[in-house]
Amino acid sequence: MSGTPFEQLAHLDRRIHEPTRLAILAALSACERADFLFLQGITGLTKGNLSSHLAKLEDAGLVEIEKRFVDKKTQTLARLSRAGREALDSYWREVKALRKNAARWRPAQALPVPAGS
Amino acid sequence: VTRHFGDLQGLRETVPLGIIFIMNGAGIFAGVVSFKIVYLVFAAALGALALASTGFYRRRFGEVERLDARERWEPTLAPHDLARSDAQKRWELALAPHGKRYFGGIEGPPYESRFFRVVEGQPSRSVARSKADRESLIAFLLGLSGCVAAQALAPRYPAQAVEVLCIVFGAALFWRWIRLEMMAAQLYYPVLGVLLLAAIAFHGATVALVPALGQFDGGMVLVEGAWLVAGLLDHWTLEKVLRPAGARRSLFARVREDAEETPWEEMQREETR
Repeated sequence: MSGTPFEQLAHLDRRIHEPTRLAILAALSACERADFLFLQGITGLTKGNLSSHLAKLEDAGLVEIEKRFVDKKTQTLARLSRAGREALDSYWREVKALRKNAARWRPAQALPVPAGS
Repeated sequence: VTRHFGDLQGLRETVPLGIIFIMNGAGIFAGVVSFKIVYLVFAAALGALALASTGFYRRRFGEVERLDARERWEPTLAPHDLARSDAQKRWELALAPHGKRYFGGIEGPPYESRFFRVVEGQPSRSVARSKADRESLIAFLLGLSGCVAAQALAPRYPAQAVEVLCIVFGAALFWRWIRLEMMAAQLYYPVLGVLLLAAIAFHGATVALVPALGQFDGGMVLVEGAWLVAGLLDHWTLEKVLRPAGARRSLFARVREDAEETPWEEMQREETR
């Protein structure tokens, strides 16, 4: 990835670069799969919010959802898909590169000095 | 927390392990109440904890399947294996014969080891099988050697037996911290390890302060104290992270509100406009 840190920031994967979705994906990346209750606890999201984010992540192919019955109750399990794991790894690499680039970046490199100033 | 979700379930593993030691050090209370009554009370507490803790954690915090799922024979400490039932419904536990003997009578040996076949689903891509087996083996040998040595020393050299127990289980606390990736949040492990080792370094002063600690039973209680506290702090860590009451929840709530106010989708629509 090249360009200014701002350009790099704009090119980050928007499906992942959102605090709550990133929290969900980061939690799922540390395990094989986790259930809804655990994800709710670790992200601090409401049921509706978590459900909506998981649906978005599933639509994007980053997460696989499995439902099963335990003690006559539905249990929802989420797992990071292979594509999701690769996307998240790639995201962290890009953020790392961005951070490195931002530390080196100087405003003069990007902003033209107004004439007459 | 996600990676070590099972390890941090203190009421399921570490606290029962601590109770085993206090059971075996129950002789320290012999002068106060009947040894057998104390032993039975702790055995009942241990049984209740073992039976209730797995369901409790599943209902309270949910379930997490480990990334390094694998099949292996795992050495466990008696009766901590009963507490070590499965959070994922797919483990198979098989009680070793001497487990029955242990629960059959209250005069069980201070320490027992047994093996369980643990099936944790299909191996995943990052299976560090040999590493996990090595870790289990080291923990097992560490505990076994300490208990066997202490047992052998106890009849003639109670003070030395206490030293062996404290050194081995102090080192085991350090080892557990290393297994938990030396996280600052679990700094209580090395601190408790240091306390156990300090009890040995200043054994004279410790015994002068609490004479019972000079006996083998006293040493058991000392070790138990450290492991019990570690287990409770593990449990507290889970409570703190997964049941946030204050700052952390409000931080996430704030982030969520921000995200709801200006989600990326909305920003993109703005840009398009």
